Amino acid sequence: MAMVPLLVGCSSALRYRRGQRQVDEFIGLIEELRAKIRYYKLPLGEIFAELKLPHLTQFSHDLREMSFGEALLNNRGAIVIGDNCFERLLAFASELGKSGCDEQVRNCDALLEALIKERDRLSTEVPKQMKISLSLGGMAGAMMLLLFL
Amino acid sequence: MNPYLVKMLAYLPGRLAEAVAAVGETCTVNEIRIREGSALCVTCEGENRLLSPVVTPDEIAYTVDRLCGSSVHAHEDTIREGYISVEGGYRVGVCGMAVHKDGEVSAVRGIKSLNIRIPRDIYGVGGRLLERIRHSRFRLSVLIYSRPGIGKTTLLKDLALTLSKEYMKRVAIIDTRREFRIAEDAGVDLLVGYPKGKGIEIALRTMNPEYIICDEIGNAEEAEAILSVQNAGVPFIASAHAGSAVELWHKPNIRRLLEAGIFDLCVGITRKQGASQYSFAFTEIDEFSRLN
Repeated sequence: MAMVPLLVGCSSALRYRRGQRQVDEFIGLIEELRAKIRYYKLPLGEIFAELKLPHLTQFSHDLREMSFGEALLNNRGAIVIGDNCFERLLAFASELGKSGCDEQVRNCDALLEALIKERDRLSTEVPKQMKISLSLGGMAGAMMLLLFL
Repeated sequence: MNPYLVKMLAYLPGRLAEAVAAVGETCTVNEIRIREGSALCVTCEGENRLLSPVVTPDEIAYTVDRLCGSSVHAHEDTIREGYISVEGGYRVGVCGMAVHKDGEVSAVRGIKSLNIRIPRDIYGVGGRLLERIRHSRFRLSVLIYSRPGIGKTTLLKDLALTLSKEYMKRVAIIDTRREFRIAEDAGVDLLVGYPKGKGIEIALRTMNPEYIICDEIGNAEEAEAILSVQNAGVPFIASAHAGSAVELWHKPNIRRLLEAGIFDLCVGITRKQGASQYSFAFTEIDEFSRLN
């Protein structure tokens, strides 16, 4: 039982780290999307067919079978990025593939700007949050141990 | 029901697809017209029929999205030219509001009308025309003309496949609008999506064709492209829109080609509604001089 708070702390810390990695993967995805639309005008189906996202595995699989927006909603539980960021992705998804190249590229640029800001915020926040989670978990675990002793 | 129609129904919203399918059970649907705010319209064997559903803006948007594979950006070049090419050889005409940039149409917005042409395969219809080509020892350049919807592309495709498979000729097809629907084992060189001038240039430079086939020539750029390669010695089979030889002769760009001797023979084609056989009206090139 003393380990439980520590494990909870570790889990919380890992969740923050996973969120950070997922933001990185979304940045990579949108950059690739932007390049393939801008330079090759590839259909979305072709772009998503070969996609591999190690930290968003089910999402990348779902993209082959459903729209970007549907795939996001289908994987909300597994996508641990912040709500604001998620809403931005949904808004982007609602316009994806609905207009010409120039507008699609502009949409990608706007989303990339938001995602990069989020990444920068997380790069300072995540180490702090991880420290706090691990410390609190450790302390709670130690207290419980003392209580039992 | 024509399998090409069945496949196209999958792109339409449910209630429009149902209405077209009901008609498709009893007659051959050649075209489906979807106009925002108007009744759904189908053309069956030359006859236009209005169906009960009135098309909504959402249904137009849904159909465009489906036709483009949710990737309008991938089709913006052809949409600018007024059509969407759908895999399988479908050509969908698009009407909307043109956006201009530097004096040219840069985009189309507010699409409100779609015309879906349903293809069908007819083979072995070359008939007397193929005989003429064969008798010329495959040196005859031919211009096929008719009004829209008679089947010029279908005939060109049949000629291409026959020349390639039966007579073992090296055939290059300039398929600018992705309409030819040629199987991979057809044994023809297919240049898909190329403007005709560029396609002809590449075909001559790299594919050493014994016949070049292209559909719907008519503008100045295409005429120029064909004229520029007239000394290459490769015969053409091409098509153009015209209801008669006189009308053909009065199209300036076509006339340039005829006067330059690009084509040896002009062939007007007609076909009864629902029939698969063509009637041919041959006009030798020297007969055109009497039209002056």
